[in-house]
Amino acid sequence: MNQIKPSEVLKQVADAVPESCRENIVIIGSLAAGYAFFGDKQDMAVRTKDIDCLLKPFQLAVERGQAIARELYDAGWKPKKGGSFDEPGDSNTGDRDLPAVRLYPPGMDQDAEDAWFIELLTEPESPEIQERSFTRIVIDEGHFGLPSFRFLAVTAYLPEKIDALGIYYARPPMMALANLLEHQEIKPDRMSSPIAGRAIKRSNKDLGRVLALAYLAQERGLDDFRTWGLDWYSALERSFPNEYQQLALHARAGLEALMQSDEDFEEAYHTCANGLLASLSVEMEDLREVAARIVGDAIGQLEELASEV
Amino acid sequence: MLKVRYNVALPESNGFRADALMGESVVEHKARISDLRALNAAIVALSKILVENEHYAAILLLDEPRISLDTLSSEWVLWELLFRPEVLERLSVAVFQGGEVTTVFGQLQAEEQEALPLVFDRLSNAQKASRRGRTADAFYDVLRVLLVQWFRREGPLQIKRIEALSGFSYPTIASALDKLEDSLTRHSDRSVELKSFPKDAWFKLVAVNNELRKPRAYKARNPKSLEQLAARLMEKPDESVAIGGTIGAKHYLPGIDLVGTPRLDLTVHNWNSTKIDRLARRIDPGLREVGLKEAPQLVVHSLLRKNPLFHQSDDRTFADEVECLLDLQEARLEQQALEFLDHLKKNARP
Repeated sequence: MNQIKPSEVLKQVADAVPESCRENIVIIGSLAAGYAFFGDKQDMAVRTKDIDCLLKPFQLAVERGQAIARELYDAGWKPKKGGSFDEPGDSNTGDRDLPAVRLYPPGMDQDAEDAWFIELLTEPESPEIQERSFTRIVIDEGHFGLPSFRFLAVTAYLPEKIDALGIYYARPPMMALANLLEHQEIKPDRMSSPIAGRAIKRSNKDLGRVLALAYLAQERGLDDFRTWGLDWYSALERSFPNEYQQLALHARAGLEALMQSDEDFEEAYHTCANGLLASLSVEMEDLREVAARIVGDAIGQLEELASEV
Repeated sequence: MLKVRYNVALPESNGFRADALMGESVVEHKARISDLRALNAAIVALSKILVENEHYAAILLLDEPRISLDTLSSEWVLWELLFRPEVLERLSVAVFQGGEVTTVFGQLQAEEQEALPLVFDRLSNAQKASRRGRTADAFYDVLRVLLVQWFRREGPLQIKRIEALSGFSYPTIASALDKLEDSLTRHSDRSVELKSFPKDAWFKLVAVNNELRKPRAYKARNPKSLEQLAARLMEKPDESVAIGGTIGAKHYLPGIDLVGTPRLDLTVHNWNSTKIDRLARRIDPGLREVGLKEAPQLVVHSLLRKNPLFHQSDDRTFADEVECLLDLQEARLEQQALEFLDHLKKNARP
């Protein structure tokens, strides 16, 4: 998979988008994690191909999304080709069939090993929306959708600003929480693209991401995961004011299911060992240990706070 | 509430002695059972009573069984096939872990469910007391009590006082004291004290450390510091948990040469293994149980005598001097153990 340097790519993205939109961009996913943990190391690379840009708040997402897409098209960024949802829609296209805005930088060979593209997303319009949804944006090239997932809202909770670039990146604990909430069970559906030659269950990949984030946080000196629990509680209370207690009390289910299944845990380990943790000598038992700490300390703290209300 | 009687002989069943009779339910208590043959023998014995006496029901209480729940489930399925329905419907098995019912095979009446925790506590405590009553343990418990008294320069002890501290009866204590005769001073008021350090008895004590103190050791691959582990412990102080080992030794001898304190030693008073595991997970959920030789970061020792002789200082509770010394020896900190023992012996001399 592609190896990209977080600092370089983030600078390229920030330089390319209109200055007025930078305040509304939160980078999430692998690149954000890579920047959070390896941003100060010029030689560290992250294996990813999609640079997820979350536009917030929702009320400005359409306007900002259109401005960013326009600017990038005008600067020669090229749409991703080849997938079933890559062609722009029109006014007859249903929201759920709209393609996302996925653009490669000018001159980039889409088939190259180190090729990457940005994808625009937004947070859900309201906490009550449970399903994946698409918000339509219209530019000269056609109609596109800004995908949003229910728990993306927490990734945008108190993001870190990169002062030199003017854009934000999601904090690792928030990305971990979003994944925990998204996968309260191990679902059977598998990733369409193989990871290091294997078709992995999406739940295992995303819950593996939780473990990788926690492992890296630990490596960078975090010695008490209860701080994550405190942070998670604030994020949930703010993002889901009507059901934060319920969500808090279900946060452990998916990770516990992962820990109880050797087969699923091994898949999660495989994605970590071939993804965020590729440059570290991490063994499966290291991830089991960090999983126990997440459940015992971070989720334990979250549940304690939720139970006190 | 059901009427409960303990240690009841059942004349109609060839004098079978039930651990308890709860109403018309015969209760049999088995602690830490690990052998399927013993389990099946207990079930067969209870079933025989049920066959012979139609008015009885029977409950087997499994206290911290070493047999997995899966295996117990399989055994229960087998018994369902083996026993006649009119016997099976009066038979049940209640599994206790961490002092609470976790699984029940068969049916318990509401009144039985209500009474069972109390019956369990009584039977479980009786079992522990009986374990404590073993002469071998008594000798070492009496020795440790005398040593602590001597190190603290608290003077001679009346036998009554040793009874109160150790929980053993007069004859048991007298027998233990006989074995320590060479190191004892007996006073005219029948009080006793050590006159010197009982070297031979000490070496015997060190040799039986594992059987006596049942250390449970824990380790994480990415370990937290000793200070972090101790800080987590202190967040929820518990008067039945005391700090020992290097931190404890430093409390009694601040100048002791302890560079690079390697592990946290704790002593817990009258805890079972489930409660100890729970404590370890609270201190660091990443800890897993290991052998003592695997350089553990946390070691928890059990203390069963009546009075733990813990020492309170500020907000902290420390294990007694003897436990701390045993901890150092167990951790192979020979030099420090020697330094600590020299200090304690000097302090003990009048």
